[in-house]
Amino acid sequence: MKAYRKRKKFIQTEAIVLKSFDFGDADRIFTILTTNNGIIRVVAKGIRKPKSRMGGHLDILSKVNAYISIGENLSNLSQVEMIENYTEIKNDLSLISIGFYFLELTEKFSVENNPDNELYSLLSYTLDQIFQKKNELLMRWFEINLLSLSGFLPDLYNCQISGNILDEGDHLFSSVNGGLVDKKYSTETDNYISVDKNSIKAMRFLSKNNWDVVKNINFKDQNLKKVKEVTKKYIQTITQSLINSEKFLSNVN
Amino acid sequence: MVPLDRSPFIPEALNDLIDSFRLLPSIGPKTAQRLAFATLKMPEEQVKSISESLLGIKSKIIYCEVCQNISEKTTCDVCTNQNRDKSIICVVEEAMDVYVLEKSGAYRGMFHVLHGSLSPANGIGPEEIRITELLNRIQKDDSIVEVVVATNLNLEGEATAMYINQQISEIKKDIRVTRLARGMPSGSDIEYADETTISHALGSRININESL
Repeated sequence: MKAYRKRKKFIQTEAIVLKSFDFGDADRIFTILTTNNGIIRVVAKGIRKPKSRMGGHLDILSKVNAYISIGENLSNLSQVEMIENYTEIKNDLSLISIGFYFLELTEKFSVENNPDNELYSLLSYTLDQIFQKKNELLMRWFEINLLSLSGFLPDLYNCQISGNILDEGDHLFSSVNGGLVDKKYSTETDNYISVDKNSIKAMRFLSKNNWDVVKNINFKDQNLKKVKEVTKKYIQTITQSLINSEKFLSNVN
Repeated sequence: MVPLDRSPFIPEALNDLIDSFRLLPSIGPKTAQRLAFATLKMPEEQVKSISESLLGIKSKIIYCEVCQNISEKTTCDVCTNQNRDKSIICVVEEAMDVYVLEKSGAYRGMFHVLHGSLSPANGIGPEEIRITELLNRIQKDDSIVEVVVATNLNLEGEATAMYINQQISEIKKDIRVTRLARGMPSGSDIEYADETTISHALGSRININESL
């Protein structure tokens, strides 16, 4: 029987470059988040050579139009055009560190072949908002919305042990149970984080409102710190890993 | 790497050698096989010499205590050479980059090898590359007037350059920190250049008399 050769599938898609590492002599593998195909790992052949026609278009933290030939193991990048280079972010070390943080979190929560473009839209929108000098708040808003889009939004209204609706007051956060727990259970385990009522309100507000509303609110630093503590622990529990870029983020800011 | 496919028609010892060659960059299964069969045909002395050279690079090569480049001595030849300009340090990512810059013949200063670049997403922070050694060197040596950061021209290389600049300005404000020029590669057509390269080339344009 004549051997049947499978025809390669080509796609053209908008994508944001999340990560890269060198491969072979002059190639590089890029992890890109696409609009309708989720996360894809693509090889850019010869990109490290000075005369590569893709080199200037393709780098981490760039929005590109990519032409990809989908392969069984690795896909090949055949052509790429830059859409947005985020030059203002790339010219500032502090903003670069924030950009790296957004990219790493997005990569951890992205899946392959996901036709849903909400994660892409969230990342693209957030990267456009970096310059507003409210980056600490933007990071918290991004974390909570990323959790929400990925189906991991913590339950901030009901006790995760009794199931009862929580009263307005201080409570505990359980990253293992994925939400708040009534403070009367505080003795059961040391893994709970105690959360004051204003920080709970802040988390509820961040989960319900878009950035245009959130950016106009002045949150207290102590509440944002608490939200950070909660989301950090919760994200670590879900992904079962540390967020590498967080160390660099605190190092340069 | 393509999964290992050990041929039952090839003796085990040869299969082991093929697998070993495949650990090297750019060596695929076919090349590994060719290399292994070529090794088999070599006289025993040559094979011994190759294996001794391989072991030698692990036992003899150390890092220069000044520039962190690979060397057989505690202080490498570049660092001990009195004819080199000690007031300028060129910072590169890998030891290979030193040889590329040396081959150009255009640089006569000192070097510092970082052995990587900042890659926060991959867990490579300032502690994982040799930035502290560079800062200690700058702090101790008052003759240094310029640091040329020749890290790669991608986001990780740029972040490394910015971080080095930030750290140097904290310890010594009068040191000039420079970056390699960016622009059109020699022999290329403008027609095929991308927007980023063109904008950098325009930004770094120089007087026509200086370029000749």
